[in-house]
Amino acid sequence: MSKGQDPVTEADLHAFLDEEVGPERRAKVAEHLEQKPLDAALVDTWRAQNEALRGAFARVAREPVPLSLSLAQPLTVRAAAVPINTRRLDLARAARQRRVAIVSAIAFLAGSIAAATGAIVVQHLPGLFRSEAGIPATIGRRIATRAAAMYRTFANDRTRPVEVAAAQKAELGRWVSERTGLSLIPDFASEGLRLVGGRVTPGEFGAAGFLLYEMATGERIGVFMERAPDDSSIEPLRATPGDRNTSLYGREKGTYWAIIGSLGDERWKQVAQHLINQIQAASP
Amino acid sequence: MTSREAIETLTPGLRRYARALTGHGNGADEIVQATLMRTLEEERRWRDDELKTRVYGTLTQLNRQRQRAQAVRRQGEALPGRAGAPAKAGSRREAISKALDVLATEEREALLLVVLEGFNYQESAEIIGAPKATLVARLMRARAALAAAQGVDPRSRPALSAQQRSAGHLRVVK
Repeated sequence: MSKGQDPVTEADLHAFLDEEVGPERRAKVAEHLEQKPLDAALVDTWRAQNEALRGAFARVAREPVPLSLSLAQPLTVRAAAVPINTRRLDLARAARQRRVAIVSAIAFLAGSIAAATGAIVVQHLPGLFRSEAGIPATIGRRIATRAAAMYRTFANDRTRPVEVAAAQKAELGRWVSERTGLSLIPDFASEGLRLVGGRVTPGEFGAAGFLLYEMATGERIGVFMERAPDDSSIEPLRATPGDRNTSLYGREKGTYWAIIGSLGDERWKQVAQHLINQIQAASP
Repeated sequence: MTSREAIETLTPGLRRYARALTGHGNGADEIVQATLMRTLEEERRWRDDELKTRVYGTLTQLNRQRQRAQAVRRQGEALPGRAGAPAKAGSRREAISKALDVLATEEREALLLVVLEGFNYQESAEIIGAPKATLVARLMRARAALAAAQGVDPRSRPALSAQQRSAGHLRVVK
């Protein structure tokens, strides 16, 4: 017993766990828990519950909010249903205009970046880019996204950017060929790019190869290659502005490929053309 | 007047609360949507600093109404109510979200507001529309029931017998 005054209650244990006690009381409860292992175990049980609960539902809050919950929707519906309330209509309109303005600004920014990177490349590669602007993003876009993720993950890894280094190029070639069916480790020596190495990675349909190259300046570019399944539709070469890195992607002789990194436009043209030539030469 | 953006920042948390409150895929997003619509109707009456508890309060109320409606429907169909069977061992996460089913709605509200949504006791009490002592009592019952449902043996502690649990008093444990 705690000497008669102010004994620690079960409510205190909860308040202790939930940080609802003042410093003085807190010290007293902490002392109590040290002396009463059963109570300490109880608090531990609750703490474990907390963690399990948070862990179980953390994902929900990270999910993208479904369109049905976008505030634009219920508001529009309401505005239409209550035409007399013009104030609300005005508010709706103002909100929508604000949103449109923001979206336009974002689109303009994105467009500018695209113009500064991808579009320049497009202009420089008229033969490769057969004016495909209207085609919806499909496999090629997903491959470019995948390549960008790999680039972000591996290109600047200080410990192990590649699984098999260039020194074991023959082994790398065998491995990639065995897993992906692509018997090609492209060479860009003529563009001043040195092979760092590569690895087998998950692709869109199966295993894929991801290779890293390095310029004399230390800048790296990634090359992603995956064999296309026979039934997938042919997709022309396109350029996409990545977050900061530009990527080029396309399909050549049954091989999906993507190049990602930051190269000057002239370099992109040479590297892409060179890769395409090598894929063509390597394919039966 | 409350900004729409401020309401929108609450949506991910509201979805999480609703999902845990209703059980998986059981109309959680509809409740959130109804909450947001109600909020838009009432927003001008609320100050910015009370927006969050008000919105959570609305969701809590809407969920209670829905639960009552479902209970009535269940009775009409002469179906058994919630069995309250402990979750089968799956992943621990699955287990805990299933174990939530054994809690009464009021107990679940208290637990989720404090633990999942990080409200303090005072805010949580405002959200459920009850005094703080009631909130704490429900929270205590929820934790004990959850431990029992998960097979953590609370009987090593006589203070947590089912009878006392339902009594909901604050008890001396020492």
